[in-house]
Amino acid sequence: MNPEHLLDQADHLTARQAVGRPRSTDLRRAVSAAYYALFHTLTAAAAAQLNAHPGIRRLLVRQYAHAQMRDVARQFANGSGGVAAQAVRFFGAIPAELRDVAKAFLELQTARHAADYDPRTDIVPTRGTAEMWVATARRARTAWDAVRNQPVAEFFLLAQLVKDLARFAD
Amino acid sequence: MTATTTTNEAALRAAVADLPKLSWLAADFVAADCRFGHDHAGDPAVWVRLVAKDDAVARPGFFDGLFAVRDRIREHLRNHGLGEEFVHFTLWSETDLRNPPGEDE
Repeated sequence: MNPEHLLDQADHLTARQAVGRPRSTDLRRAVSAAYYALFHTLTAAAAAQLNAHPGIRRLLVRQYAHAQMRDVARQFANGSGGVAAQAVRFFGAIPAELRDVAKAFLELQTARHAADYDPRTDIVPTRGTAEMWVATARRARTAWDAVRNQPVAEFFLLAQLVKDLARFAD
Repeated sequence: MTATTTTNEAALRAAVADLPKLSWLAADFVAADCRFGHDHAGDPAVWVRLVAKDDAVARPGFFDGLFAVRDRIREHLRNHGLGEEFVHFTLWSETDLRNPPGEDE
């Protein structure tokens, strides 16, 4: 799944029209696409770390669980607690860009859950809201590019995959 | 976990409502408010709505300003015990205020 294509799709779904607003379903899908653009950015980066057959790399990607990724993102966003504390101990500090990625992941997952699962009519995203989440995903990808080769970023990817990594990371 | 106390709700509402008065936001935003409730899963949630001028979103650098104010609000909410997963940011335009979004017929 190409993250840039997901963001292109989101742009298409939120495109400004001469008359009226985009359909609510399109706006909900755009928010979801923005989240998955970041999700696939991170899982693809993890797979790229593995020098293995493409099929095995695909298997690795499938092991990522949204809830586990959220828990680790919360810790890295706060810069403390659990596996984030381990990261600080190992690598000295969590770069601001990585914290931005973690925060964006949390925000986008929250927005995606509302867009995909909340049927209340007053939850329907506006076009501006959908555009905001697309811009958030783009900014997070830029931040990720700035840190992706640092060991602490690799540790972040591993922690998002392995539950309770902090128990083993001594 | 509860979203926050009633006292904090009032303080948060006041803090958010004051945001558009900041000079660096006045060019793009006309209002801001927040409401408290629960999300689709029953977890506590706060919805923060920023209302931008109709032509603001297309302005260069608009989202940089938006992200800055979003970060500021998040920090405030985090200090009140509300992490990112409880906060729902929405961006409305003046037109959205006049004609609120809803599900398609």
